[in-house]
Amino acid sequence: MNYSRSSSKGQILVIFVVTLMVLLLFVGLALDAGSVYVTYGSLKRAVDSAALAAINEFKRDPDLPSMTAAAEEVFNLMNVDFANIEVLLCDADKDNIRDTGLPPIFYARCPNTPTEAPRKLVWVEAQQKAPLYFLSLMGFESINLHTNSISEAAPLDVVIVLDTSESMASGTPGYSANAAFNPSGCNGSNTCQPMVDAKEAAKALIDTLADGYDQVSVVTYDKTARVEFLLGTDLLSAKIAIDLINVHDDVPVVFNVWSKWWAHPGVYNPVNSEDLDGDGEDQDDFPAMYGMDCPFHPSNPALDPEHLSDRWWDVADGGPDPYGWGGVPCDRDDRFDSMDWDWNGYDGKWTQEDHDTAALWAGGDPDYKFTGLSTCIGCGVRVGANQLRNGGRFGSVWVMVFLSDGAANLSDTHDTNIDIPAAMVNGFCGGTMGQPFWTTSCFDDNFTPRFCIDSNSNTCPPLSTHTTVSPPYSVLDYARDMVDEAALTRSANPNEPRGNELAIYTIRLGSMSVGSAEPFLRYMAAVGDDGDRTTDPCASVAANTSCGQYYNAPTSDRLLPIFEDIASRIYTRLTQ
Amino acid sequence: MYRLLRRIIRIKKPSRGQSFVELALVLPVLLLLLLGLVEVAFFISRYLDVLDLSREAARFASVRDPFSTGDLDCSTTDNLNFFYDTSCMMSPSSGSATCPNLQYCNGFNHYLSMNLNTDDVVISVFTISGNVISDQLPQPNNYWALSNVDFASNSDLNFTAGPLPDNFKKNCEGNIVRAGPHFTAAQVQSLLLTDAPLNKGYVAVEVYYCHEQVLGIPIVTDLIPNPIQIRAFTIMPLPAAQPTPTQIP
Repeated sequence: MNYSRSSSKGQILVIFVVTLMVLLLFVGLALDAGSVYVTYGSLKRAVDSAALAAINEFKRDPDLPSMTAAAEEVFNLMNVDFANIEVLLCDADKDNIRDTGLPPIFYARCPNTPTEAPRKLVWVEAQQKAPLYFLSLMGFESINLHTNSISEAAPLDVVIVLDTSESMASGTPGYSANAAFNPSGCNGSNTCQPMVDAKEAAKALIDTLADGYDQVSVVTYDKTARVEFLLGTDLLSAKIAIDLINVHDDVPVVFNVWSKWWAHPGVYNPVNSEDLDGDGEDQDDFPAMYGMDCPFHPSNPALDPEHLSDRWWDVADGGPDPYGWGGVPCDRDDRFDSMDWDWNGYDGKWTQEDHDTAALWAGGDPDYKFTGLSTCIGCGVRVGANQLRNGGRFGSVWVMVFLSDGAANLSDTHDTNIDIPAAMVNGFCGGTMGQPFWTTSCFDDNFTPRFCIDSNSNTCPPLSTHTTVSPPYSVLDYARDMVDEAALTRSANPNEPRGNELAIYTIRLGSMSVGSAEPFLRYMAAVGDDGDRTTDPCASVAANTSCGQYYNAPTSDRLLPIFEDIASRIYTRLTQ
Repeated sequence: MYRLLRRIIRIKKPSRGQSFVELALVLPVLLLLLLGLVEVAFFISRYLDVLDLSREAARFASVRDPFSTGDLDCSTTDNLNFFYDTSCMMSPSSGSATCPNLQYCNGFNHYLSMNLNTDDVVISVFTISGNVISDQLPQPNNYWALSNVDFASNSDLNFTAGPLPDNFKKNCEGNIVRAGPHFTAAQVQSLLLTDAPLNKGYVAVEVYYCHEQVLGIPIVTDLIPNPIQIRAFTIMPLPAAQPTPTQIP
């Protein structure tokens, strides 16, 4: 009986002790499990961060030691032991063949180069000991945790668009803004400044791209735009293509055009000085313009009236005066005679020699467009963006770097952009005699209002004015439309067509005083940073100052640091 | 047989009462252990939440522009405010009843209820050139704290000097326990490695969260402060904060 009683008492105690032990065991195991989870969580975030640090180094030539060091530093910053960290690349030995011996998961993710296009992948694996508290009583001090992360940097597709108008030789000895200049000398010796500085800066930008991964294209523009190097991965050839870029030799219209023409704004067509009625032909319909025909001899220039030798029909000689100029310009339909070429003796009179010299420029084209204008910014934007649209890879980061030393004064025509009506032979430098934009250039100095020439006014940008004619639609409006077509992704108008995700960096070289030059490049950068024209980091920044993705380079020696800055800012987009 | 049975019953009677007493003594201990374990599990779970959210926030920031100064609203994704929108990762999901403020909503946080009077998110950006910290954002305080956003006046006091709420400097009782964030220039500088890339940017996100014990077990709350502060941080590379090669005019 006594035994039974005492046994019963002890039983509760035994049960309690046993239960307590079991409970403590579970509590201990649970705490250790919690500790392991916490260690794993912090290791995982450190590995993710290290993978980002490593992939950022991909911007330069992939270099395993620097990537590993970058990853180790992140581990150190996060107070995680970095002794056991492993960084791997798909092709670390750079033989263009996928490395063997990679972890199977990573090997499977790596493209089978050279058959497949390379991808910027980095594998980071790390291990860490998670301390055990309860289990250490049983001799298990710690448990090894390891985790990995694959990060990928998107490849870059970069288009470099350079201005090659004659002013890109403005720093060359012998250049004068007030005289004709032939850049063939400095082109031959590759000494045209600031062109050379721009070329070196562009090549330095290409040097920062990853060979074999990134694509580059080179586009130049003056009167029209040309692709100098098709979007491709051969960076060396791209640099050679840049070396071969020449400054465009502008027809010296403004220097050679008849002085009486020059004296009156709007007296001749700046897009083609031979074409006075703006129909694209040398043949002009003077009766429609002046009410009477210029009294030239029908076929023989030698029999022309003497007073027309300076191609000005003065009121004193019986000429009309519909514009208040005291006369009107007249030129023959069968000769190139809008200019007096001074190297044939600037004599103020037209001679057959003038025609012959002009004919050399025209190269046999009777409707050659004699224009001194050579900044078709819209052309450069359009051709550059098309390079990306046609050759840009899905999943890569699209970047355009755009350099200009002036304001837009030409646009595409129907020949280069099929969307422009064939009737607009002068592109959007349209006009009639004595009217804008037939001043000495077709600059549009009025950044606002913006005009829109879309076939349907529903698709016009907000705050723009719809029109069907040019002017008022100008080459500046055209250039802005090309920017929108390339990179606009957000607009308050749901019907406005959208462009592509494209980062645009713009550089204004020199201190060209045309009012719309800087506002336009700032607009381009504002659209090119986030696809939204209304978010402008330059909105409250003083003129002639770099801001956002717009750079102001008063002198060409600023170009190299600017291109380096752009290279460092072309974010490597992290996709994982 | 009947005697035996009676004997047993007689014996068992006092024994049963004794067991109840013993059980009554033992059960609180067992319950304390079990519930304590549940409480610890909640704590670890919350800690992992905070840790993961700090990682999420740093990851968000790592691909963005630290100079973006948009509005103080988590829901306007197209108007990026680098610091504020990064801290939004810690806000409750859109439409949640636990949103402390309509402007502080739309985040990833389903489980934690950020108390804007005690909790904090601290973000600092470091620009390192030549392995030396050359710049810090935001100025003038070198850190950005969620508690310094004045929702009442819709203004961000982080860009002003002067006395600021700076919740992160305090413990959950409101006593000042630290002078600055975990990642200061001196701290980061001391952890840089000499063979790592010389020029880089980092963004550090620190979360300070006062965790209220879920069960509030009497003895446990006496032993462990309630609420208890959870701190977690993540630092990630920020290419946009890399130094520029030269000063651009």
